[in-house]
Amino acid sequence: MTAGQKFPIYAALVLVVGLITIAAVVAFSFAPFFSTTRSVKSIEQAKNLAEQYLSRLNQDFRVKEIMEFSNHFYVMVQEKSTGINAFELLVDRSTGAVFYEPGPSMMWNTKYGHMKWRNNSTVSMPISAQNASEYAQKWLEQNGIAAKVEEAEIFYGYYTMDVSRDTRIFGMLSVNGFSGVVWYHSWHGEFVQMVEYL
Amino acid sequence: MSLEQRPTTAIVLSLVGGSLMMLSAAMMYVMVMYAFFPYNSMGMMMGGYMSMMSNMGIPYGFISGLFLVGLVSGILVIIGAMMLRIRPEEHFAWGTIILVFSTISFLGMGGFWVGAILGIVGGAFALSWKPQQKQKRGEN
Repeated sequence: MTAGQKFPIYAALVLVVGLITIAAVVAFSFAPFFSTTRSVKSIEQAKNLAEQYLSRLNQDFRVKEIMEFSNHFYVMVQEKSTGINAFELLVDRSTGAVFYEPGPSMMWNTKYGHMKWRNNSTVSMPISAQNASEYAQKWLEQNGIAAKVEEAEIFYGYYTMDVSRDTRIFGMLSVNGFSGVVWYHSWHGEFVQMVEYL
Repeated sequence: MSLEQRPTTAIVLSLVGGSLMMLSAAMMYVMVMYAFFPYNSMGMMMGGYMSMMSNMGIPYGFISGLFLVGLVSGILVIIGAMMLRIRPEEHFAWGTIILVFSTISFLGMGGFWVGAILGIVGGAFALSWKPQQKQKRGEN
């Protein structure tokens, strides 16, 4: 090592401490050994996790319905005081992580989603539930999906409805209450079972 | 010591690279807190690191791990750049540190990739830098 290639002890210390810090961050973040993840096997487990999550947010929420899909558990959350559907959550099967459902609940919800800036947290929307069902049915037909939409669940800013074939649920979609745009929930996977709590 | 006796290019590149790494880490944090959790994201933040990440729907701490790797790398690259300015004679040591942590920062978005590349180039410049010899008066 030449004079220009001095490696003082404090520089070596910075290097070592930095590498250890990053190694620790990576270990804590990625290694399953350090994580407290748990797999969720039943709807009851999913409900407990969703309720724990909701209790951290607001005391006015309750779980209205849970649907088990092959990819995760879908949770419909309702406001206790108004009886209005608030938002939708997903519970990850492998980690037990509870999170806001990406899609209509996040993007269209006028009270709990990104559309809350409109300050229009109402369920009175230009498009009625009846019209929303018609749009959804038309969308299914246009996309060659031989299925029937079930009753529309009203959320702030949009509707969500199950899609069934031969009386068995096989999917879900949402319709924007202002624009009528249909958003199919393509991320759920195969329907397994559901439980309603009201 | 005059300006010419410092690896100015390496310092500037590393400072910009380190700053970009920290900026991208901060943006990732904002994205996690506000884009993924539009409702009551502050409440979740109060829940602490593991609690916050439990809401991601992906393995615990995955995104925060990326954010922290970017943040730590950015800080160390900036420290390296500052030390390079204060102690240019130790350019080999600080150049190595800048190079190592700029490369590692790729794990955490690496300052939108540009920051990591600037850091690597800055680190390489620091390693290859040679101080100019002062010319004595009257010397040809």
